Amino acid sequence: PAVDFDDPTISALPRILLMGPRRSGKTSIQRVVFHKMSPHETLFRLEATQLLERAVVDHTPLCRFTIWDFPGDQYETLVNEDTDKDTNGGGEERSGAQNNRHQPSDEIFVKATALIFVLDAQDEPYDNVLQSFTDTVTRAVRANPSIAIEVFVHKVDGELFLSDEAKYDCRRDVMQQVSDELADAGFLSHDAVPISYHLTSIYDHSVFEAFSRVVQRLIPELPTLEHLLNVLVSTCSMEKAYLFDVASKLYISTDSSPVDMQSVELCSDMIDVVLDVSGIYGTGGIGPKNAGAKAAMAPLEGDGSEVKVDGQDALANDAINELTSSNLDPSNNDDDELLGKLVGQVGPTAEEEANDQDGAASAYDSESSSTIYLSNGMVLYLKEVDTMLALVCLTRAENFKKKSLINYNIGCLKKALKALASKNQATIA
Amino acid sequence: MAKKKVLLMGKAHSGKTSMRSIIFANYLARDTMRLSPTLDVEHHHVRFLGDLVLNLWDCGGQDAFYESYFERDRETIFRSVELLIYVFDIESDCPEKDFDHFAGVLEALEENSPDARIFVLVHKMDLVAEEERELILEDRKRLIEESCLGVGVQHFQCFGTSIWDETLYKAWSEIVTNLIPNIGVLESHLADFCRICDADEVVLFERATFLVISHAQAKRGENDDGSRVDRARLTAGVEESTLNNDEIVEGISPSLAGANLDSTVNEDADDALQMSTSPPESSLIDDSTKGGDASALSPSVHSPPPPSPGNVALTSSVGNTQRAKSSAQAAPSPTPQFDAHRFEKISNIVKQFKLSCGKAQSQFQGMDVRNSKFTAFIDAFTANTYIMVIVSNTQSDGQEWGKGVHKAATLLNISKARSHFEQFIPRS
Ligand SMILES: Nc1nc2c(ncn2[C@@H]2O[C@H](COP(=O)(O)OP(=O)(O)OP(=O)(O)O)[C@@H](O)[C@H]2O)c(=O)[nH]1
Ligand SMILES: Nc1nc2c(ncn2[C@@H]2O[C@H](COP(=O)(O)OP(=O)(O)O)[C@@H](O)[C@H]2O)c(=O)[nH]1
Ligand SMILES: [Mg+2]
Repeated sequence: PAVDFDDPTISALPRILLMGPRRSGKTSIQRVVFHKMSPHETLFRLEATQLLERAVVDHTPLCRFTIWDFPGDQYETLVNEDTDKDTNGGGEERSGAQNNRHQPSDEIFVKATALIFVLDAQDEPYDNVLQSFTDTVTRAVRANPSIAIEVFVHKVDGELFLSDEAKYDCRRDVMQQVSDELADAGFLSHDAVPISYHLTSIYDHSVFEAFSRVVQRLIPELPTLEHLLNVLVSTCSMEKAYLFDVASKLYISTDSSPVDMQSVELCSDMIDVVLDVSGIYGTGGIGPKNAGAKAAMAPLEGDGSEVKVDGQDALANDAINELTSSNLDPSNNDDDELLGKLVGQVGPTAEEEANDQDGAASAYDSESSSTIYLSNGMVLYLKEVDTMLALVCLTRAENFKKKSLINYNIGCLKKALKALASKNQATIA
Repeated sequence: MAKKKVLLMGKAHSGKTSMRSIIFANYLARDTMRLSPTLDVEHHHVRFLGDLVLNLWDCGGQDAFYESYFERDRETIFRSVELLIYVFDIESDCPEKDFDHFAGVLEALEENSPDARIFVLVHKMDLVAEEERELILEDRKRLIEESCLGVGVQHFQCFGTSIWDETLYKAWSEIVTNLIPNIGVLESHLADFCRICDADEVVLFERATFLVISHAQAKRGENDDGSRVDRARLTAGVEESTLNNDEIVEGISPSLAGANLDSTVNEDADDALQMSTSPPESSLIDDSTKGGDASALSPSVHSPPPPSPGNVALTSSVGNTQRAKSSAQAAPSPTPQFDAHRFEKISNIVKQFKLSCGKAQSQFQGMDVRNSKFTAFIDAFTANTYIMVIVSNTQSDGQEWGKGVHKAATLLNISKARSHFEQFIPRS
């Protein structure tokens, strides 16, 4: 289905630009992260991008944006020429091209939220590439001082990068060169242009980690989410909790304890298991079509007590207040107030509009959940908290015994998220 | 402990070592790009199901080696072979020569091990565009068949495979189950177990490789017996227990901190079960674990003493009263048609996850996955197997109370069946 990128609701979404030289891996990144293409397929399934390709990522209400994948050799011309170069094209975007054609190309940066520059780490020397990168950055930042600049030092895999040392060395070199170049370009202090560097490869989890961090910056509610997760983690004595967009396996938020890559990776692999197994056994013809939507209204499922909680919205609302205010860090008063209002909004309306999007078709539905017991005494627990959004938490088995309490609190979190999402919707519309 | 000699042959670079490493040595598919070519014959002993040892002869595929396979080492190589796996590279640049070698191998095998079972893998199928795979595979199979008939070989099995998808697991699952003695006995017990659990499907995996060794499906329409009545009563029992839990929930709401509530907030599914079914069940459960012979599990579980809500009640899917309400929706749907490739897919999925756990210095012991339509339990089962039990959620009328109980019952059944099944997992 053609997407109209001029539609105000879509053009208002945060924009992520993917730029970098030819064959640096931009399209591969996009396909692997957002289209589940397996990394080795990029070797023979991808052709050089000829025209700007845009895509909307809109799996879960709290995390929506568009991705702009530029052709490797065109992005420079595109950036450097203010003339009416046909910056866009390709079937469905034609109408968009009309619009953009006569705008100065800096316009691209003005409306962008983040610029990801992909650099092929296996393609030394980087001098030329980095020079064009600094040009791009200079322009981008002048056009839009708040744009987030992210560098993916990409393809850090294979023979050249067997050790972590090699990767860090590479990143250090790149950073050094960039800051030299930027100084030449007149940006004297390093803070003038904050740039984040990520070591990435599509062959491991690193590209998901990096993209997660990019995406987290797009979410205005991030502090609130983090706060909610902090409360959940401490209330339920969990080790760690993540909110994952299950379609892309990017995590959009986590509590503020340190992130350990291994645990993120395990959570992300768990999502694969859940989606794949559900795709096989959980799409069967038994449920009526509206079962998903109906179930969506029941924030808590299953075992005994929860059913009752479910019916008592007032009680649950109290609980959100409880969950969100009782353990509040005093310095966080803003959030507190915000949540107070949000909670007020939680009502039948917020619930009723729940997943009608692709809910019925998807094997990931409002009752999706999974528990995995590990031999080291840890438990991974995944639970649906919004359309295509999962809470994945890591907890000790002994703290997992009070599962009803955990489910109850997750139910509260779920309501708070719904409220946040509907507020988010309201501001966009 | 029996050793089974397995020959792994095929042209150089066709993927033999890759497959072996993924299935038996926990390699990831992408790690195989670093494998160096096999020189001459490598012997590998891999354990399967505890004490079945496969003696894999990974025969390097360069032409020079073939000469010695056919001449000097002919007997050494082809004597007392249980099973031959011959690998064709779909992208071979010289298929004629492959077929020459193949025919030579078959001939030598007929001569030295006429009873050996033969598997032919047409490998690297991922390199063929998806739409063409079937056609190209059919074509290749025809050539292989001609080749076989040409040397008088009638029985062989042929698979298209790739290390990049689940087809690998399909083929190897067939291969290894051919080496397991008396697999039929296991199958019939698994079918019983499937019925007792009122599961849609039960699948047994070998522990280390996660290859499927056996599976059983529900035969729907057969379970229209009296058991539902019990289920209805059971549901009533759970209702009572939710009452208790209400109090607990109210207790939580003011504080939510809850650490000191652990002991009271104990409605983990197991407890729900205990509460609702308490006295009669415990004895029942013991009965079936003690039962030593094949039939012990089923009868004791299947005919509970009339007055008590028995185990069957726990495990059957829909209660009478519930059915009455929901029959319009639930009744017409037979066992859902699942993906024909699901077994190998599950093998692949779980094996990948197992490897992920390994990377995180841990192992996975058991899991459940569910959505509104089903619950899958995957659990360490006997010493050498994992089991998967699929239970579909047939309640569509919003009555969800039974679910926690059903879950508990399934877990209970799994743990009870553990020791029982230990004796039916074939050994050599
Ligand atoms: N080793 C390795 N190769 C990669 C990685 N990411 C992408 N590649 C390979 O790089 C090649 C080019 O990838 P593309 O995604 O087409 O590059 P692109 O940046 O979109 O190129 P243009 O569209 O021409 O601008 C492909 O063969 C990919 O398989 C990676 O992380 N590691
Ligand atoms: N595309 C693709 N490549 C494969 C597959 N199986 C193996 N390979 C590759 O083929 C190469 C040779 O494999 P290897 O196992 O060493 O072959 P052997 O000489 O028969 O043992 C390696 O680079 C593997 O990564 C497959 O199913 N698909
Ligand atoms: Mg591209």
